[in-house]
Amino acid sequence: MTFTVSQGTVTGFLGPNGSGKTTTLRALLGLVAPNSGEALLFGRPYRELDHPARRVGAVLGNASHPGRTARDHLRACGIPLGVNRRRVEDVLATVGLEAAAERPTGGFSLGMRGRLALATALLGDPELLVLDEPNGGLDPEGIGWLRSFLRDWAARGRTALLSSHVLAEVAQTVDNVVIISEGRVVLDADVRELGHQHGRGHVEVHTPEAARLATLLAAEGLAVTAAGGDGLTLPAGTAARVGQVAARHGIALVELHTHGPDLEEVYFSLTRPLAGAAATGGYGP
Amino acid sequence: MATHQAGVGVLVRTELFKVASSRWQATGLLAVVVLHVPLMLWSGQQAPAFWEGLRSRSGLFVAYAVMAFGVLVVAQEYRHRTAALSFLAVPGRARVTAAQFVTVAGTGLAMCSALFLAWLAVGVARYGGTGMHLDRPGQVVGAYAVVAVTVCAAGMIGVGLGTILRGSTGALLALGGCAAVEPLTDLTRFHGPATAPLGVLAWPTSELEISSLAGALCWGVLALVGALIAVRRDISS
Repeated sequence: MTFTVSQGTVTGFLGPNGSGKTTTLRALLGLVAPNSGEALLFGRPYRELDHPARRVGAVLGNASHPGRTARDHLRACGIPLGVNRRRVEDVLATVGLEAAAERPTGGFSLGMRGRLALATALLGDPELLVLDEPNGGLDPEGIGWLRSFLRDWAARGRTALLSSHVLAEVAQTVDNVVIISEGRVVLDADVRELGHQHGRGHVEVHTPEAARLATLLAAEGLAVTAAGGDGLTLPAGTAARVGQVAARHGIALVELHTHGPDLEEVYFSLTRPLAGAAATGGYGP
Repeated sequence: MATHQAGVGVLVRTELFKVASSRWQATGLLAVVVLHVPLMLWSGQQAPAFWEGLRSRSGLFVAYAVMAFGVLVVAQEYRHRTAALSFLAVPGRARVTAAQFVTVAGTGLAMCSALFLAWLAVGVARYGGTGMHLDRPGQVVGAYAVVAVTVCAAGMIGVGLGTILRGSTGALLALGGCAAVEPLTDLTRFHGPATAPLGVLAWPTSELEISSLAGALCWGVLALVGALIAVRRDISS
C-alpha cells in the first residue's frame, strides 16, 4: 500500500471499520510491526527519523493520566522532546485549553480530551499531523473547530493525514482522499474530482403535472424515473432540456435542480468491491 | 540512526516528573517512609536483636512497596494509553524501559537509604555505637549493601513484570501468588521472585543468605531482560 500526502494539504484516509486504517497509521508510527514489508514515512522507518516529534505529531485517541493536570501532562510529554514551558503554554492556547490547564484530565469532557490530544501532538512543532478518527466523541462545535484548525494548518504550509470511516464527515476538511478497503488502496484522488470521476449526480424536477412531463421527457429519449409524489429524477446534465420541454408544453415547474454526486454513494461503490464485482459480472460478456 | 532522541537521563527526569505530578504516587511513597517513624519511636528490644533486625526494618516493607510501585509505573502507562505517547517521542523503547528501571530502583534506593540511616541513628542513640557495630564498619556497610541491592532488585522485578504483563492486576496477582506458593517448599523458599528479597532481608543469620541474595539479583536481571524484549511488542490500541 503506497500513497502520497503532499505538503500543505489535508488528506483524508478513509475506509470502513476493520479495513486497516488504524493499523496502517500505527505501523507508520512504529507502534505496531507490519506482518510483512515495512512502513516508511518520509522514506524511512519512523524510528530512524531524526527527531521524529519535530516531523510528525500524532493524535491516536485520548491518552492522559487522569490524576495529572493538563499542563503537567503536556510538560511530561515535552521533557523528552526538549520542549520548554513557553511551548506548553503556546499549545494550550492553540487548542483553547488555558482555562482548564490546572484541572486533572480525569474530569475532562470528550471534547476537551480531543483538544488535549491535539495539543500533545503539536508539542514538537511537527510538519505532519497524523490524526486517527479525530472526530470521535466531538460535538458539532468541536468538529467545526477542528475543521477550521486543519484548514488553517494546511494554509500555513503544514500537512495533515486524518483517518475516518465517514466520508461526509471529512469531505469539507480534506483536499485529497485515500480510500482503502481490505488493506488495499482503492482510490487516491482530489476530493473535488472524486465526485466528477466516480459519481454521476442527478437532476431532480418537481411539478404538479409530473406524470405528463414524464411521458413528454421519455418521448425525448430521456431516462426518467419517478421520485415519489410530484418528483422526477433524470441523469445529470439534462436540466436544460427538462426546462425547454416544460416551457414548450406550458408545464409549471416547482423546482428544477442538479444534485452533485453523492459522496457516500461513491464511497460505498469503492469500498464494497465484492458486491461491485458481482454486479458487473452479471452484465459482463 | 536517530540522533536527536532523548537519552536515558532525560527520560529518568521525565519519569520523576510524572511521579511528582500525579496525585497519589508521591504521597504514597512518602507515606511508606513516614509509617516507619512510629515504630522507630516505640520499638523496644535488646541491642543484639535491634542490630539483627536492622536490614529487615529498613528494607522489607520498602522492598514490597517499591515492587508494587514498579508495577504501577509501567501498568498505568498502558492503562491510560500514554505508553504510545512515550514511544512516539522516543521510538527506541529500550531507553524508556531502562529509564523506568532506573527511576524505580533509584526511588527505592533513596527510601531504604533514608530508613537505614534513621534506624541506625535510633539504634546508636539507644544502645551506643558499639551496639550498632559502628566499631566494625564492614558489617554496617555489608548490611546496607544487602538492603540496597534487594530493594533495587524488588523494584526491577516490579517494572519487569509490569512491562511483560502490561497491567497492574495481573502483575500484582502474579507476585501475590508467588509470595503465597514460594515458601511452601524448601526448594523455592526465599528463591522465588517475590520472596528472594524477603529471605535475605528477614533472616539475616540464615544459611539461605547468599543464595537468597543471588536469587533476588538474578530475578531482577531476568525481569530487566524480559522487559527489554517484551516492550518491543505492538501497541495496537
